Amino acid sequence: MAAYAEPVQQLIDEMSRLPGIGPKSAQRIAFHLLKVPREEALRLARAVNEAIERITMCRTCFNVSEGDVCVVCSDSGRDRTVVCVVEDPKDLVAIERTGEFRGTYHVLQGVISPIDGIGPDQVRARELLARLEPEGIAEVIVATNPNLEGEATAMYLARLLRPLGVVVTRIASGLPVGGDLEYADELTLGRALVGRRELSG
Amino acid sequence: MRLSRLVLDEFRNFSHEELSPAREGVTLLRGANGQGKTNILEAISVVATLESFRGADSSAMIRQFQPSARIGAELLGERDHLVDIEVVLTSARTRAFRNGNLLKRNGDIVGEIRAVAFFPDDLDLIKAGPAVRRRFLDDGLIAISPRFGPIRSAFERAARQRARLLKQVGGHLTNDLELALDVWDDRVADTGSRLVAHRENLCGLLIEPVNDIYQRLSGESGTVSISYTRSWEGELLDALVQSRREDVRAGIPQLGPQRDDLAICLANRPARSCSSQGEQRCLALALRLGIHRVASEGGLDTVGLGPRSDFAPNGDPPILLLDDVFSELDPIRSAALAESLPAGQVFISAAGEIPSSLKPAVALTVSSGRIDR
Repeated sequence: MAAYAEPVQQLIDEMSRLPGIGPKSAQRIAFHLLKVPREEALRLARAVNEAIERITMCRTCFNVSEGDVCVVCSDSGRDRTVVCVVEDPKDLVAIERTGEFRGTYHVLQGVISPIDGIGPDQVRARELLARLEPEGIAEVIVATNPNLEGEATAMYLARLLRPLGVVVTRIASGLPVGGDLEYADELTLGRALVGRRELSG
Repeated sequence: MRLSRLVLDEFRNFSHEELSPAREGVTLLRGANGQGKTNILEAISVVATLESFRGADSSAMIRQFQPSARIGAELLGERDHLVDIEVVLTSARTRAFRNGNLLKRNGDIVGEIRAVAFFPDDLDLIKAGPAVRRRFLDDGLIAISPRFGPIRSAFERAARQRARLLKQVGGHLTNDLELALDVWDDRVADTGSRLVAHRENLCGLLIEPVNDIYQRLSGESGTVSISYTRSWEGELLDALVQSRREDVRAGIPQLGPQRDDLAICLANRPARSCSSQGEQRCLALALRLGIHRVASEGGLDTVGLGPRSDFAPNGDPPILLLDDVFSELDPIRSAALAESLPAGQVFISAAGEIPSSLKPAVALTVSSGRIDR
């Protein structure tokens, strides 16, 4: 096999470590970067550098943050009595985009999964517990994914938090808006039926 | 749906071969040992369930020095309803196509056609440990309804999580662990109870057909009893909670659907220890044929997996795959089998003698990876 010059091979190898990038794509991206104007490629390098150097974790909710406190936690217009628990910062952004939620968040940074060596101490459950009293939290909305590990984590949080007098709720699951009944899988449709509600009007 | 054409590319010892089986009745595959007869049956089982009935992984099914294998199946329903299924195996993954479209979930082709297989290792159903018999029930349920697949995998995943947790804790039951176990006990009990309900249901449905088939094959009147033996008593959740201390101490679960068994008796004596080799062979075959009959006649609703019309609108029986069955039986039993084969598509591989009463609709010869009429 003909080898590339060492720095090129290194670039390809690093690229192919990224999620969703196979060896072919890594090669294409690497050569793209070598072809574009020098400034453009260096801008990417700087962006990576900046993000790594400047982004830390919010010390309250464990969202990604520039500084000790993230943009959500430092927003004084937020309702501090309601906390939405999500698996990772991407889920937080997804919920923010709905514009329906004005409370604060708690990012677990994972879900309980013994197979992957992740127990309650590896997700930020204890940190959530510690927030309840000082922040006067009345409701915790659990928005973990509706799969086995997500449900198990939700149940764990409910059992952990309920004795302390907070209301623990779970986001509903069912059909996507604008979707088509006939394309829904049986599990989703089944849940949507179980979780039906009376129409008012 | 019926299998109207099967195309094998770089599958096992075939480079490129195709065959058109009988739409009804027996397709006989003859040839010496090691020529590829069983591989053809295996390919059909892969199209039906995405798994080899031999339990082989994909890399074993790809022809030597080739990157991938491909199985194409043309399925024909009523009024010329045609579906093309394609399964592409690479060592890394299996991809399934329906009418040329890549399926997002491979599981979506399971059930397009159904298959029930008997193969020489099935003597293990009687002789080997409980795992083989649990697998027999689970495979049977999948042959009856593809809806059972997700039920089984949900339980398996939950049980694996709980078992891993027990292994990690090092024998001590703390308050924190109690809370974590509460969660996994609940998941295991929820998914496990459903799984066991289906298995028990199937056992009940099997008794009559298995007895009928066993008597026909053996010419004896000995009664076969089949009963599901749980490894716990009462509600699964309560049993899990009760065995918690013991589970934690041992580091492995002491009970649950993954430790259950199927008790098979012949004339009130355990078939495993008291029956002759001939009786055991006959019994193993009767069990598989019993599954085939339940799947052809009973329909899905009898095992509570939803309406039959959902997956088999034309009600075709599953394809029956009999690997080297006649070498397993004496001439009298072979003749009895040939005379009592069920309706539908039947594939039989044979290296040696076949009973004269067997009337194949299509007879093919397989030699060194080639199929000839």
